Amino acid sequence: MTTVGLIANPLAGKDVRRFTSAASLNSDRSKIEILRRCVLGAIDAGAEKVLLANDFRNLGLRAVDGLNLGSKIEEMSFHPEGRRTDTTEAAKIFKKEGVKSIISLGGDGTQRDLVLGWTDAPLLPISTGTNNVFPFMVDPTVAGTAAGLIASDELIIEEVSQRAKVIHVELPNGIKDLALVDVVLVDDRLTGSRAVVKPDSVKQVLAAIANPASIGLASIAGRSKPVYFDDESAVSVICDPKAKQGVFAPIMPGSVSDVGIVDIKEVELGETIELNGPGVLAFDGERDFVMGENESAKATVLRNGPKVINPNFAVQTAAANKVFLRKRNS
Amino acid sequence: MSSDNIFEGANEASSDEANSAERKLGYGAAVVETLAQIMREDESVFVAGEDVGAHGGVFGYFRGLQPEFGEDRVVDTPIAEQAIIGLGIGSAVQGLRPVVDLMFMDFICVAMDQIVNQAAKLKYMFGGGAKLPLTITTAGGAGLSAAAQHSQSLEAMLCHVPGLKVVMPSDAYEVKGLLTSCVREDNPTVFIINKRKLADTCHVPEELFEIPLGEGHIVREGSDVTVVAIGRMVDEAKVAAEKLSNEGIDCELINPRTVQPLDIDLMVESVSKTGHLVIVHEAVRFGGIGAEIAAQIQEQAFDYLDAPIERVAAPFSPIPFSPVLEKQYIPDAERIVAGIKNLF
Amino acid sequence: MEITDEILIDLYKRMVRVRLFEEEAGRLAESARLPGFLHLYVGEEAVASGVCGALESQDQITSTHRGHGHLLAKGGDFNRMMAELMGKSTGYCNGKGGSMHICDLDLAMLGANGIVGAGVPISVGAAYANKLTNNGLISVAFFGDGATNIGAFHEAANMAAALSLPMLFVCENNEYAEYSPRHKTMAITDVIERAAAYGFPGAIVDGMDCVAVFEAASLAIEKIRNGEGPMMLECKTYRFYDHVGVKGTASNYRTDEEVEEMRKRDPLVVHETRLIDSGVMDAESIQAIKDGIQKEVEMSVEFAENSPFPELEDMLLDVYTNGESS
Ligand SMILES: Cc1ncc(C[n+]2csc(CCOP(=O)(O)OP(=O)(O)O)c2C)c(N)n1
Ligand SMILES: [Mg+2]
Repeated sequence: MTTVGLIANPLAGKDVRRFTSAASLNSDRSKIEILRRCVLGAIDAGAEKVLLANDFRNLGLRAVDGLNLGSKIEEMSFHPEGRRTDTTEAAKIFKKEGVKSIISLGGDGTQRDLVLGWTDAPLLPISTGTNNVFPFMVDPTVAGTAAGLIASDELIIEEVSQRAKVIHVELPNGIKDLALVDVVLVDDRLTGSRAVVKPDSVKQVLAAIANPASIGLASIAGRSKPVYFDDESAVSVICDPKAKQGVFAPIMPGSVSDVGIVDIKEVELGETIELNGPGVLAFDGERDFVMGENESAKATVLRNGPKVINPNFAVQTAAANKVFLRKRNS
Repeated sequence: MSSDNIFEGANEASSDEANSAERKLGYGAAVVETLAQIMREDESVFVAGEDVGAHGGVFGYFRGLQPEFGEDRVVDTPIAEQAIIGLGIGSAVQGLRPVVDLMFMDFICVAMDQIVNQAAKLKYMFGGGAKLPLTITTAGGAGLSAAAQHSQSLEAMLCHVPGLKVVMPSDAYEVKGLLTSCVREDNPTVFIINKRKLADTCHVPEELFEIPLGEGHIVREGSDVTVVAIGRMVDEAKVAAEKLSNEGIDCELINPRTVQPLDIDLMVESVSKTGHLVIVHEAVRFGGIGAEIAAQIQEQAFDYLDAPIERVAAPFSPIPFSPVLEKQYIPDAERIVAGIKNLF
Repeated sequence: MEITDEILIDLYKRMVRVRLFEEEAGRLAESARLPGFLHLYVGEEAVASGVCGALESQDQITSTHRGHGHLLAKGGDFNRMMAELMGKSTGYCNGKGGSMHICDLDLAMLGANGIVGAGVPISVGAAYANKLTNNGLISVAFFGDGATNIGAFHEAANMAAALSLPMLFVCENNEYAEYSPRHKTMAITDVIERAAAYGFPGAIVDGMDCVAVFEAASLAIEKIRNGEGPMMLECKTYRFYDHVGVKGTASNYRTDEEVEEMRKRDPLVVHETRLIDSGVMDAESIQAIKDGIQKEVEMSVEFAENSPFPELEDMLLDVYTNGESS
């Protein structure tokens, strides 16, 4: 079966950064409309089935309401709880079901949750989050087309995707976690409202993707020493509010901060970086793990992440292959 | 105290039903039974309100309707009193026969525009074109320590508005007969359920029957004084009348059943016999229904009156929470006795 | 805004005050020692505590039918609360208001409310007064998810935005309005979408975590005080007991498993664990706080029971200012 997986994080783009910055609200309605366009694009491109991850808002089901696609739409049978782990659980089911491509709506945090469930997922991430370094800004119809063409074997995934880097983190308690964009050590002892909203609290940034043109904590690294998706390296920046040197970085949408930096260094793939407590580790922008005085985490960047499908390139490739030219019945 | 157990029994038929030749039914249970029977015979009737469906109403008097008639005919609405009445008005104009519920009578205030400016006036403003077979059910009355916003008797406000009919059943029998009339009526009616009466039972026929709106009822005949009591006050007045009959005062007790239209003829007739009138209601005295009745009686039966008209009603304050104050606030048999004695 | 040990402990005390008072009130109601309807706040303590902890003492709040928690978290007095619940003359409202109308104007708590949604427009008025007198204060309206379906909420939200008032909207989204699950009465899940509709920002926060609420509220309050207009904080929370009264399980509208699941996220336990893990307090000092507050609660019951009922001749007192009703 040529199946496209489709998932949306209902909570993406709704946290406190709407107070502290000019971040916009990503409403359920707008996500529903994006999902609908994805479905239509995918089916039109030849996907036989779209497997919907039933988020707890039923965004997916509401998106296909009235389309009358019958058996072409399948709802995943699991019970979402309205938490981060829903995305991870859904990813595991996508893997088990062997979907050929996944469109995932969310920001960097959502994509990370998905990869936690399926590390080398064939992933087409669409940005509906607050920080969107990893996912694409793309018209969902085009994204649907790209995912559908891959599912129906009109495109070969290896030709239109690239493995992403992953920051693998071993926490002091032995648990393994990961990030796709950045792991940041924050001078704090609480996860609080999760988002990192105090620029001065950033102690260390380890970024696998540090694009000067993107938003979020990784921009501190990106505007110091850029590292791109394709680059076979990562970057580590040590920050200190009292440093002699600063970098102007948009750590939140519309909110550019002068962050003091004391050290910038290139990190090789496979190299282990220590992040020493006390502090809170933020993964892809969210404070998540509190480290005590003598605790430390180990981080290693490897290129063994998801196969990230570039929708524009995929559709361009298909056009070059004349996939869209179809015979008409006269 | 939970709403589940406050109103327990509201929905059950009396247990001695089997032994009794006369079938007895609870006041709350009569609401459900009536609605169910009407809904079976008339497809155009539907019920809507907050928690009336899956939960069966916070007072239990819609329980069982949704399982039988489904979610489309027994609709759980959002908390939206204006839209609930609007739902009723619009669908009534379209030919349905909605029964919409406002839970506590106090909440009519939230929906006052839809009730007063819309439902009551549409027909007239449209030159007679529209028909509004709309029933609004709501629970009024004090006595549960529910304080100032969950205990009021606001019938006088509604009676002041041309176009509305206002109905106040005093027992389960009247619930059935009057509710049937309301639902079959082609005008907007407000059906005021007394929340302290829910578990009280009395004889109620199995089949649907109508009590005409605007016809009062002589509960007890007597020769010395006419007592007009409204809603639950009928119970208190009965007790008062019994007590006074031992003291040689013979009360004629009238229950108007509907306060708009008001059966003033029945009262005029009675007063012309007794020469005395006492009016009892739970609402505040100032501007209450008693004032209207008193005015009409002096217009039509002035010559028969042997004493000023007495009103027994609530003092002019919001309803106090404290049980000691609330008890003092609500008129009871004792105060009715005192009021009647004032005349002699 | 640094979240100091002091703040962490303060938030904890606020929650414990609400919890222990409410549990006691629940017991009293079950043994028929409290008249009237009782809407308990148990489970939602992190919301009132986190928000009130972030306010200045004279910032106004308006509350709901589930209002004990708001007053207590703002520093309400146990004795006057308990006496009010019993309808005694020493109560916050001299026994005339009861559970649904408790208020403390000295604490700028402008009343619980028996009419769903009705406090929100009143908060608009308080915010307007703040703006007009330039007193630097803000007002906060607490309201439930269900309340956002009523007209009053919408008019208030629009007006607050149109007049750019210093006001924080706090939605306590506990997923139910009485016995109706949210999804049956609205086509949206997140109430902050309603803030967006009226043109002001809103954010969602974990309403079972007092620190998350405190931090988010503080961020919003700073901006609001700065003159940036209203904002809405939506706290995802849960009530452990029934809509009215206690029980809480064996309901016909939610499953016991769901309640069980949410009880695992008990805001007090979440915070206690954090206090201990971060070394801010140990188990003994936590217990000592609880014991001390429990004692105060018990004393308030005694105070209330020994207090007199209002005098009957006071029935008409306070219907009007300067002059009696007749
Ligand atoms: C105008 C009005 N309509 C209905 C009610 C009855 N009522 C009391 S509380 C409630 C539910 C409120 O739900 P929500 O706002 O979510 O608050 P919660 O009880 O969940 O805290 C309802 C319908 C009321 N008090 N006022
Ligand atoms: Mg609610």
